[in-house]
Amino acid sequence: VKWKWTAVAIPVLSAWMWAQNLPASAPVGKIVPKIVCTTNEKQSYALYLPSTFSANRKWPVIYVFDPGGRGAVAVETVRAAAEKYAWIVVGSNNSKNGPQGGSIEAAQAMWVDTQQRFPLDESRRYFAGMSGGARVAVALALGCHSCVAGVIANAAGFPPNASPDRDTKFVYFAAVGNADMNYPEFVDLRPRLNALGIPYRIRIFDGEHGWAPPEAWDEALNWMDIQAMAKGLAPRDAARIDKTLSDDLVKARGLEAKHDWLLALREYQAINRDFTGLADTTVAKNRAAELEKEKEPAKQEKQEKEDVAKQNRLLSGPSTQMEMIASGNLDSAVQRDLRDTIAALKHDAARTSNEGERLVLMRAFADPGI
Amino acid sequence: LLIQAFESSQRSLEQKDFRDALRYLDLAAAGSDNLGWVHFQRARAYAGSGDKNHMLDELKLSLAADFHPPTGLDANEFAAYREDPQFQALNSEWRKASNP
Repeated sequence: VKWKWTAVAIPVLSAWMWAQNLPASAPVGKIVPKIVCTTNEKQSYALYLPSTFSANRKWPVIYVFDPGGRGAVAVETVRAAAEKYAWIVVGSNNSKNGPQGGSIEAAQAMWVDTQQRFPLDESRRYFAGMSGGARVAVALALGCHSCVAGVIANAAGFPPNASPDRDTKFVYFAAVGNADMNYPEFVDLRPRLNALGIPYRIRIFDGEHGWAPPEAWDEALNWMDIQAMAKGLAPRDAARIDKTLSDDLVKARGLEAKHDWLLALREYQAINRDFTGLADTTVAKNRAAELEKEKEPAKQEKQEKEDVAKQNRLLSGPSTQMEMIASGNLDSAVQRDLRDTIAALKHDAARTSNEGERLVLMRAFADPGI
Repeated sequence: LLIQAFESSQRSLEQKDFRDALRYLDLAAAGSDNLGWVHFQRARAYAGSGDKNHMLDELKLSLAADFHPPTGLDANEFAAYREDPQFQALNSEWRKASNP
């Protein structure tokens, strides 16, 4: 799959597009489920304009991809945060998982149409998505180089055969459920992002594979705003910076109170990364240094790696067997075994009293929640 | 594993590989809490492979499990049965359930 689409996107980046194309009227403060793209009538998107929207200023915009082309679902997920922080949300009704998913065509059409209709802040465009939609968001951002300031990836990391590198220009916020089958991707991704110095946050919420709860999206958009302030892309709001720092410290202390030493350490490290230059991070810096010397975070990190290995062990045989269906090489006895394995995983996950084990079993079982 | 079964079944249906779709759906049924969805997808696979009796059985099971998306029977796989009286009767029941 070729993700390069700058040739199409760049011409529409120019300000004259906005100046020469009057914005279509659209209601503010409510989701519009379908706006047909003027340049490609096969493509449409759901839209949310914040209730404070006016044509007198430029607005941050986030393009969101649902794995099943449910634009309104995607927009609804982000809506509350977008209203609070005054962002425009656009969700493709066409981009879907699979070989005929049409994500590039969908992204190009939405991109062109929204640049024409609305006064968008060119330095503050973002991609986001869930599951396959998250991979689409990252792939588009990698393909278009500097066309977006950030990516919010929910429930999946980078696309296959892609990873962050020194040319990665966007900041990265991820949200993943602790029982999500893609959780291990983020265990792998974290050290790479650290090594490259790419600004990132990985927020883990309680839940399986699916859209993150509204509070995670609130955090994501707020984090993107803070990142924009740090880079001079948005005016600094000292009160908001202080409030966010204070909330993050409360979160880190809460994790310590629950003896989630590893998560607490990561929270302090994230505070230090995000707020250096914006606020006094001495408290977070000192506490991170203390926790780094303690045994518990290292022990929990070792356990996290063991959990990933266990999930891989549980999955490797059955997953390969399932792939044999397509080649016609799976006999009915193995099919029966496979069915039993799936039922057993479900049964064991529901029965175990060990929370760590339950999460590993849930990740391997991977209920799509349909 | 369950997501792999679900997604593979959808890919097989898209590619009109109905035999494989049924095998993936068999696996999905072993773990899914939404058997109505599984029955409906099986009905699509049977419809596509020309097995009317199994298709009708699966649609009835889908209805019984309270899974009846309003435009579900508009799927391409059911096109060949639109004039069939048994399918029409079921379609009418389906629409009633979708729009009580």
